[in-house]
Amino acid sequence: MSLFKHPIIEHIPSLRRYARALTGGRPDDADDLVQDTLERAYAKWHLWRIGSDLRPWLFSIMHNLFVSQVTQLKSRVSHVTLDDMSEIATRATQSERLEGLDIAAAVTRLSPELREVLLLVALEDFSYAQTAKALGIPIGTVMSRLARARQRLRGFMDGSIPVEHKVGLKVVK
Amino acid sequence: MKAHTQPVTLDDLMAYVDGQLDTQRCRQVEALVASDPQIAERVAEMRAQRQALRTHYDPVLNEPIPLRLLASHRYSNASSIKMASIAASLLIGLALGSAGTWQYLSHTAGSSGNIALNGNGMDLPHFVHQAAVAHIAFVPDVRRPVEIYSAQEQQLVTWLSKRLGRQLKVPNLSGTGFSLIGGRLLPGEVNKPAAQFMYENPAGQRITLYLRNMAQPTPETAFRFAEQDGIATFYWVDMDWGYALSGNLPRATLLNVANSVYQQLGG
Repeated sequence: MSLFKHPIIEHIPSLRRYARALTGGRPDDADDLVQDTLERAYAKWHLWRIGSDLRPWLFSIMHNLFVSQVTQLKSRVSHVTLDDMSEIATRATQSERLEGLDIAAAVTRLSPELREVLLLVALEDFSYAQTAKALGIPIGTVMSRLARARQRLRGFMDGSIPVEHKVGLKVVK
Repeated sequence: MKAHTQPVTLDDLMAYVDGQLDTQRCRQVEALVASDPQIAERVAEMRAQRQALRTHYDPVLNEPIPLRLLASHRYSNASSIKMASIAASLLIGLALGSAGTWQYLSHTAGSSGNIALNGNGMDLPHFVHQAAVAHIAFVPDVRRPVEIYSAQEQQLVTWLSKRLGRQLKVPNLSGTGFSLIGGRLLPGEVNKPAAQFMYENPAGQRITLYLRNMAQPTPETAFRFAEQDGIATFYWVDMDWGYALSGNLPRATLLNVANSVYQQLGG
């Protein structure tokens, strides 16, 4: 198995792009997610069915890792005190409430479920069927989440939806 | 044609923008878009969102891929818990490296301020030669270019620091496009072993940083340049420690990297 010929290698750039948008934080955090994904993919390589689409398989691995990170994060966020919350809210108000958010900030305001669907379809050009497969949800759910994601994204960007001040928008390891 | 019987829904508009409709349905939506400005605006808005995402995130595709991602298959057999800790230690290592100072815990007292001009540093030409030879010897090595890989950077640094008798930190050269592959211990002079760190850029070009304590007190130097067998080397001496950065690279490129190393050493 040569390092530079492994079929997974050619998917790294788009995995990095997706992870960057998904985590919304430091590029290093996004690359950590990519690295975890690659390590798991190589470890599970024997499970990949030859001839099946590699891309949804890789992105489904990243999805599973991302979801477990978000879950861990949520349990951590519940320990944040009220003082922390108000401090964060104040900061956000000063910088962000006056006008709409830029695209990257708006994306990170979407719930993880909506963010994943939007980014797979609109950024990574997944078909609805591939998206459903990668995320393990029905196509109907893909479409309803996608519609909701687009609506909220528009709201965040034109300022019609006020920014919700909550911590835990960014995945940290 | 009776294609217009099914009413167009919002889902259809979305699927139209995402290229998910079959040809017939697609034509139907196109006709509607052409005739209804409100629908057209809606479609344009969804397209603009797609475009905004692309414009913002597509540049990631053209970034050099970090070496740690290209090398991920090396770790795939270990458990994920171990992986997480290796990834974490690698990050810590990089963070320390970028903090940028090499610490001198055990250099001989007085050696820097009290230079004996002992034949203008007899050891220096020997040192540069050793660095170039070590470069030529290990850079082409595909199977084992280093003894310890950057995934175990802490272990690498601890081990080499102990053997060289000085607390080492590995310069972070990511700003110049080079990532650490790892390092090895090499014989230098009597009681003065050398360390070699190897870096690689996404194009696969490798450079090495070779360093050791000089055999005798040696005056500090500015950057000096040497070339042998097509290998360019920038070297310098600081507090009786010799540093040599070698690579088969244009002089200006190598100088740029050498500057980065030097700045991080000088802190």
